Parts: sequence; structure tokens; C-alpha cells
Amino acid sequence: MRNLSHIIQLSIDGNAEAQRELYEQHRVYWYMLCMRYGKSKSQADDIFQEGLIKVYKDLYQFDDRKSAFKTWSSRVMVHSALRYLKKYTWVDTLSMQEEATQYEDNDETVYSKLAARELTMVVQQLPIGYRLVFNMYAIEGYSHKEISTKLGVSEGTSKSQLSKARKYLRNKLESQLKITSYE
Amino acid sequence: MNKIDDFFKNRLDVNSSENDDWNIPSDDMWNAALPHFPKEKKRKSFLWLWFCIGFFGIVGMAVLLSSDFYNSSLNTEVLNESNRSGDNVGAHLVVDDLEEIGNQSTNIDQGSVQNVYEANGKQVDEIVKLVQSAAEPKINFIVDKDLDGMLSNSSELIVVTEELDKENEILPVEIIALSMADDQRLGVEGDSLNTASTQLIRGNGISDNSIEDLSDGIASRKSDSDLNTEKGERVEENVPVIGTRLSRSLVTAETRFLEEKEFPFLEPKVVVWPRKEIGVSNQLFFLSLLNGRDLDDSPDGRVVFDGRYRNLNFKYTKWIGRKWSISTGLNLADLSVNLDFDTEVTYDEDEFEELIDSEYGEVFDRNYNSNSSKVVKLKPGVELVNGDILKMNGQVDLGLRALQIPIILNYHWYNKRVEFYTGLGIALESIWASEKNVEFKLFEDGVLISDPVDQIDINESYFDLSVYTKLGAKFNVTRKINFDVNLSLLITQPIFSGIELGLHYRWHQ
Repeated sequence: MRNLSHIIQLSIDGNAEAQRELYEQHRVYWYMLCMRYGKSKSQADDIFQEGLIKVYKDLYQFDDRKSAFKTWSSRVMVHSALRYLKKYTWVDTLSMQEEATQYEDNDETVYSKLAARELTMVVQQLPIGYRLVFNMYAIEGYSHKEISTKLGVSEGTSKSQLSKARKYLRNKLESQLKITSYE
Repeated sequence: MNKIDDFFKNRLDVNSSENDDWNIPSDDMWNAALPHFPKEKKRKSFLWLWFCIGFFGIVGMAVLLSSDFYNSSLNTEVLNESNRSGDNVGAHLVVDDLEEIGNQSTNIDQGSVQNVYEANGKQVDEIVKLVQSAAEPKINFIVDKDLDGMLSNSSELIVVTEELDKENEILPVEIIALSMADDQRLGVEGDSLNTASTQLIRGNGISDNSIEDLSDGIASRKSDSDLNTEKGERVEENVPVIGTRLSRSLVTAETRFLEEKEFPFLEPKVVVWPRKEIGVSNQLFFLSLLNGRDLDDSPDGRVVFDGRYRNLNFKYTKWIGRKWSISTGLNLADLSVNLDFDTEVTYDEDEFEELIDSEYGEVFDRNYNSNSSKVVKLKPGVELVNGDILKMNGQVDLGLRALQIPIILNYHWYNKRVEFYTGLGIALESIWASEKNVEFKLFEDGVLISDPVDQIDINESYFDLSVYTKLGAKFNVTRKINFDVNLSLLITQPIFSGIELGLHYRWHQ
């Protein structure tokens, strides 16, 4: 079995088999990331596709001495997500305070169990500002400073959005737990 | 991190999440992204490479089959001659006795390395070969050392001669002269070797094709003053002779000088080193190998050069030593290229600025000033974000005419009819460049996002200097005519690099 460095090098060289192998190894990770950033599956698909292209095109820039491939590729994916959202849906998002009223109802949100799939759906329902900050801070591990730079907001805004996101998610989980317990 | 963060982070971890297709992207996305991935470099069929291999192969074959040129290869040559003469047993034995034992410097040509031969246990210092063919009554005199040097060093000549007399018929004569240092001397007399009679020493009294007869018939002479070429007097001093048969390391030879009436044609020709050379050549530019090829890897993109490449070079080379020469000349080149491209790029603000400021300026306008208004302007309201995928579409007619004066120092090494050389120098260039019919468009998602390029045709001229390297081979068709093939690389102007084929006329010293 080839190690990751070898697969990456072959992928850079255009070896289709290695490219597919790299994809197989990381597609779930990448796709789940995209699903958290998108508001819907179709958005996630778009983000994923653009991110995928970007990852492979920029593969030569990856330096395993600086970071793990997973970390590097997740950052490329996040960058693609931000670019996508900025281009298509991001309209002064971080100033919005409409909170939970903006998320779209989803018939699928039957939280029978708090599994990854359902949690992802919960995250998807976050208003975009909350979603971005929560994902970047809590899941991907960006600092508020980095988030403020990437999103073009102040660190205070980032912290505030994160706080509101947590509150929203806690409420959502509690309501879900109630539903589950009634069942 | 608080509990909510941890909870989500842990539960959304790939390893702890179930894979029941909801988090597996469809293959459609993979297939859609696939064309944009890096492609494996296609192995291009370098026809020119095969051409070179074929050329050098032919030259190599020719070398193997060719006769001596600047360096003697006694074994091969004499064998050829003896084979031709058929019954020439004696000559054949001489060859058998002769064995190359290595390389060393000689006192005749200080510092140079010569092949060293050994005959019957005795080292041979010099090989001179005289061949007379029945078909062509001329004597070729080939020496692998500087003749002047040989004379000035009073190098000895030992001559093995042979004449086979069959039924009173004078058969083709083959004479091999070998010089060697030993206690017995046979100096080359006279001021020069231009007189055949002072050089050609032939065995006397050799009859039939008997080896013993051959050796018995070889005589020695007493001294150089005893030489009487007119009458072919015998000399008495013993002369060490190499060859004649395996069992005899040295035999005492009786020598006799050929009578002019027998060999009135004896005028040895001495092969010496090149003095100067002129020639013409034509160059196959590497750029022309890209002609018509699509250099863009993506299936729907293209970057195509379509050009006309003309070239004629006049060359003059002067040797400044046996192995060193300086060449110069006049190279004329005319390149007309249409560059047509329709290719995809991922927008990166810095790269794009670089493209517009330098690359575009380099291709389309050498004098482009990045501080002036940009040639490529985006339509009002268009804003690009890093990562946007754009299409660049355009074309330009580029013209390049050059007049070059190269000055190159060459080093030559010789191998029979083929000589190899390498050179390093500079080329002074006067260049006329033109850019016409410029078109350049940018598209995003199929929508034109740039204003039409408004650039007038550009013509400019300038002087330049290139570093020039060469690596080549010459095939000497005759002593005066040779074909040349070389790889010319202009390090600072690679566009003028290529493979050069030439025909030259040479004078010797």
C-alpha cells in the first residue's frame, strides 16, 4: 500500500489512479466539511466540487513539513466554501442578527438520534454568519483572529457570532432531546 | 472550547460518523472535477530525436567502415589492404604482430596521447603507412603524428616492406613503416619527407609469398649517407625491423630504395591538421517542433503555435591549434509565429497582476510599462475573486528577425572520419521584433468580462547579446568536405536554439 506522500506526489504528476486513491481516502472528510458550510446539499455539492478542483490544482503547494495533509486540504476546502458563499449567498451576512429566523425548514430534520448526519443538518440550519464562525472556530480550529481576517470582520464580531451560534445549537439540541424523549 | 464545541467536533469527526451514503459525495462530482486535475505528461514523439539518432547511427556505421583519417588505425587498415591483395601473407603477419598496448605520451608530441603499439614484444613509437593499390597507382602517406616534430626529433624509421613477385608480376605493394627507438638507427635522411625515394624502403629479393623469403630478403643499410635512391643500393647497417613473422621479433633487413622507374608515382601525401574552414548551414529551431501542436493539456483548451521558421548561417572557422578553433560567421533567422490560445486559468489576483504586468507585456509588448494604463481592462462592475476560473482567449502574430554574429571557441577531438567538437561563445544580435493583430479576451462562466484590447501594431528593434554553446559532430566525406550536425543552444535567447546541419569546405595546414 502506498503511503500518503507517495500518493500525493503521483497525484501531482497526474497519475489518475493515485488521484482517485487520494480522493477515496478523503472524500468523506471533505464532503462533511462542505455540508457543514453549505445551507443545503446542493450548496455543499457545489462547494465540494470547487474545493476538490482547488485541492488537486494546488496539490503541488502542499508541504508536509508545515502541516498534515488533512489540515491543509481542509483549509483549501474552507477557502473554497468561503469563496462560494461570498459569491453566491453572502450578502452582508455577518451583520445579520436575524438569527434563527433565516434558516430554512427542512422536513428531514427528524432528530431521531444525534448522529453526525443530524448534527450536520443542525449546523446547516444555522444562519450563515453563525455557521461560518462556528465551523471555523469549533470544528476547524481557526482562531478568532484568523476568522476575522478571513471573513473581514472584527474579532469581537467573530466572538459574538460564535456565542450566538452555541446558544442556538444548545437550544436546538435540547428541543431535539425533548422530541427524542417523547418518542 | 466549550461543551457544545466539543460535542459537535467529536460527533462530526469522520472516524466516528457512520458511512451510510449520506456523507459520501456522488461520483458525478468526481467526474465533473476530473478534467481540471493535473494531467500526466504525455510522452511526445520527438521526431527530431529519432532523426538525430538515425543520423548519428549512419555516421557511426560510416566510421566503422571508413578508412583512417587523422588517426591511423593500423590493424583495421592493413587488414583491409591485405585482404584486398589476397595473397599478401607477409603484410597480414605484420598486422598480426602489431598490438595496441595502451596510450602514453610520446617525446615527439609532448603532452599528446598517442596509441601505443607493440610488435613482437617491441614497442613501436611511430606508425607510418604507405599503401599502393593496383587499381589506383598512388601512394597514400598517412602519419599519425606531427611530421615536422618527428623530423626535428630525428625519430627513427623502421620500415617493413614487402613485395610479392608472382610469376614475374609485380603485385600491389604494401609498405608499412614503423619508427622505433632502439640501439640501431635508421634515420630519416634529408630535409623533408617529400621525396619518395628517401622514405620508401622496400624489401629486396623477396620472392614468392614465402615468409622466410620475405624476411631473408630484407636487408639493412649502413648509414643514411649510403642511401642512393637512384640506384637502389644496398645498405649494410642492420636495421631492426618489426614484423614479417611471429617467430621473429626483429629481423635484419636489407633495404633497397625503390627505383623511380618502378614507382614513378611515389609522391607521398601527408595528412596534416585543419587550418580553416568555411561553410553554410541551416538550423532546425526547436520552436518549430511545436508547430501545430496543442500545448494545452485540458480537453477544451488550446495553445497553438503556428509558424514559419527560416534560417541560413555562414560560417568561418580558423584553427588555433590542432584541437582548438575559433569560429564566427553570420546567422540570419526569420521567425513568424501565430500564437492562438484559448485556455483556462484559475484567477489569482497576484498572478493576474503578474500576467498583465509582465507576461502579457513580455509577449505582446516588450516596452509595456506597468505604470501606464493596463492593456487588458475588465468590464465595469466585474470583480474577480481568487479562485475564479477564467478563460483566456486570444491570438497574436509575432515576428522575429535576427542577424547574429557568433564568436565561438571550439574544442575538437578526432576519430577517423568523424570529429566531434564542443564550443562556447557569444553571439552579438540585432533583432527586429513585431507584434500584430493582437486579440485578448477574458471570460468567466462563458461571459466576456474584459474590454477589447486596444493595441496598435508594434515594431521594434534592439541589440542583444547571447551566450552560445555548441555540441556537434562532423563527418569528413573527403579531406576537404565535411558534413556537420550540431546542437546549438543560446542560453539567453533559447528561441534561437536548435539543431544545425551544415556543409563545409576545409583547408589543411
